[in-house]
Amino acid sequence: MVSTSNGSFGKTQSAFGIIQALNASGVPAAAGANPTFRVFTQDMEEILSAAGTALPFDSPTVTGAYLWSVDLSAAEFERGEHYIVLATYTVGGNARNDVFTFQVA
Amino acid sequence: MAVTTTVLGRYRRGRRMGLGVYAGTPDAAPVADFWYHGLSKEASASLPSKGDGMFGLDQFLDSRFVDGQWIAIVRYTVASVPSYHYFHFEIKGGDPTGAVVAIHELRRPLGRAVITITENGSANIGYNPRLS
Repeated sequence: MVSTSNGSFGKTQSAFGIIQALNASGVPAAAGANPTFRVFTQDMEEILSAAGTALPFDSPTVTGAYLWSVDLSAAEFERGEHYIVLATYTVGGNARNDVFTFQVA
Repeated sequence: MAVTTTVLGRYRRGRRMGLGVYAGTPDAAPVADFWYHGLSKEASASLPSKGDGMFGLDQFLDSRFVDGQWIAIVRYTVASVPSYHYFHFEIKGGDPTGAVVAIHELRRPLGRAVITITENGSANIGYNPRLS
């Protein structure tokens, strides 16, 4: 599992980050399918409307990279608060998770 | 390390941003791609060697670097195995012309002229410089 801080994003922007799929050796590899992601508040309450599927990023130049993006204009996102993104994907049949955090500025 | 992610913080246009990676002996010089909001690639550059396996880029933040969130991806391969280094940063404000890096004074019949060259390469000329 990789845990990444993505910095802060304005309330009118979209928060985003790159999910880098890795194989068991830690080498970049294509995921079995596009990763899915869920978004949580600091209290680990899930924001159901923010969940989604990441899209391939700069393929084929970059191997196994996927872009997640969350629209922060929704009422559930408040300035000053931190949020957690949990991404899930498989590589070679093995499930993997990455965690991202960001703040709404 | 095949993949790393770093948050660099906030920069202003007209300044420089340093990117450095240890790549060992890559198949070719690492390349940095600069993505605005992760959606559009706005700039690309190779990282020169700094010796001992280090590669670095002193990227001038010109007018292409508009306000917002950016990702720079430094990518290279070693024995055909890819490595990626992600750098998150924000651009807010600044002057894309950068600082004056050269100045020359000319005396002409019309008066004194001052020619300046700014960091983005633009030349400017003004007559009779004075403090206002």
